[in-house]
Amino acid sequence: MRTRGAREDVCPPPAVPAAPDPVPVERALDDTTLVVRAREGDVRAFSELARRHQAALYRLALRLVGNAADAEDALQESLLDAWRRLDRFRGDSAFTTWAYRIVTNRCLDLLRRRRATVSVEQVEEVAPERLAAPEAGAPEHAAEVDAGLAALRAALRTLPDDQRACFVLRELEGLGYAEIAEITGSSETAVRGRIHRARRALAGVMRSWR
Amino acid sequence: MEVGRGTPGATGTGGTSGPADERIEPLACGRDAADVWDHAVEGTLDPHERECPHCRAAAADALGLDGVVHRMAAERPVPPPSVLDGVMQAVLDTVTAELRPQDLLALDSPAGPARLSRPAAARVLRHVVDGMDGMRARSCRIEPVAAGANGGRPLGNGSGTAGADPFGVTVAITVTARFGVDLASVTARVRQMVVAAGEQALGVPVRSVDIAVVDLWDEP
Repeated sequence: MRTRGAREDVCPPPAVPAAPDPVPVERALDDTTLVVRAREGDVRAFSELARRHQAALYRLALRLVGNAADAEDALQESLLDAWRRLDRFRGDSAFTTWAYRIVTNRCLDLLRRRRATVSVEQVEEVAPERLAAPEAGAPEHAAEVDAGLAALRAALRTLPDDQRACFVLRELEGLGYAEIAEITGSSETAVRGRIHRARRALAGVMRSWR
Repeated sequence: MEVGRGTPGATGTGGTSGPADERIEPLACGRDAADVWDHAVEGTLDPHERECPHCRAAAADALGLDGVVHRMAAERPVPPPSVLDGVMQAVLDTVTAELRPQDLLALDSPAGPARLSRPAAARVLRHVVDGMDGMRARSCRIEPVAAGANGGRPLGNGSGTAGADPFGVTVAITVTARFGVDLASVTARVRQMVVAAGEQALGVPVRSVDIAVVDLWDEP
């Protein structure tokens, strides 16, 4: 529905609300609205988008690069990239898919650069204090007391980067093959193959924990 | 979000049609190994897959890995607040540094020429729409118009003077509405509110308001 600006007699003019809501109105807005607003320079709209999705993007970065410091850098740089490139985001896919792609590419770039100077074994463990309790009653610092989890974490690092990215997006973030293909810029066939090879490699490692 | 697993589009695409590094070798019994894996995790193994030793071995691997993968997926690492703080500070610095003259609106100020950034002005108008029951603003574009356009006459009852107002603007706004609201009524109300906000909050005569309802939403 579109209405054009014909003059309408209005008397008296309605009062304009002055005080902002105690809860930012952006919290109630959908991603599409926030993206449109942010693209028009609304910093608060972008702030809400970043706040809303930062945890998922950080999880992805952490699982791809394997340590908190690099994951924080990758997240920060990716969000700034997103702000700068918002005018190129046309909304053909979900904002999350687009943001996942930015994070994935930045992490894979970082890994390529790192590989020249640092061996995989030197990568530090995820700091336990960065892990929120997964559920009520879970043991504190679950990652430390769960040997199987530690073994999986170590095995993940040995995967080729493209396999690890597809595996993490599928098995840890729960995305479908089509969305992973869009994020990684690959075909669904390639994604499916990488996930399967990653599963087999990891299963081989995890047999000793069964 | 879960669109691939177990759906027709998610299976049968591996096979042998892709390049060698994309190929999924079938099990010795001929079954697609990735399909068997998915079926095991989903609990949808068929009679062959439950009896065949090759499929059972693949399913055992799948289930052995699946448990620990679920535990890892349940972890919820969170970034420290400093990350988002740093991002938003950098964004604000960028916005300030990159503000262009054409991004500013001229305001009719008794204290002399004043200018306001268009994003800030748009934010004020969006806020007005957001405050209306069942309405949310999406895009809000504010453009200055040449004096004399639209008869040089502001829409509201403000202080603009016909033909002598260099500060008038046109507003093009898109809104989303709650399902069930009377669109004709609320868009008329949006027009009133935008005109009033332009004059009361910004001091800018609004000469025309172009409103498009682009989406409907329902209360959760």
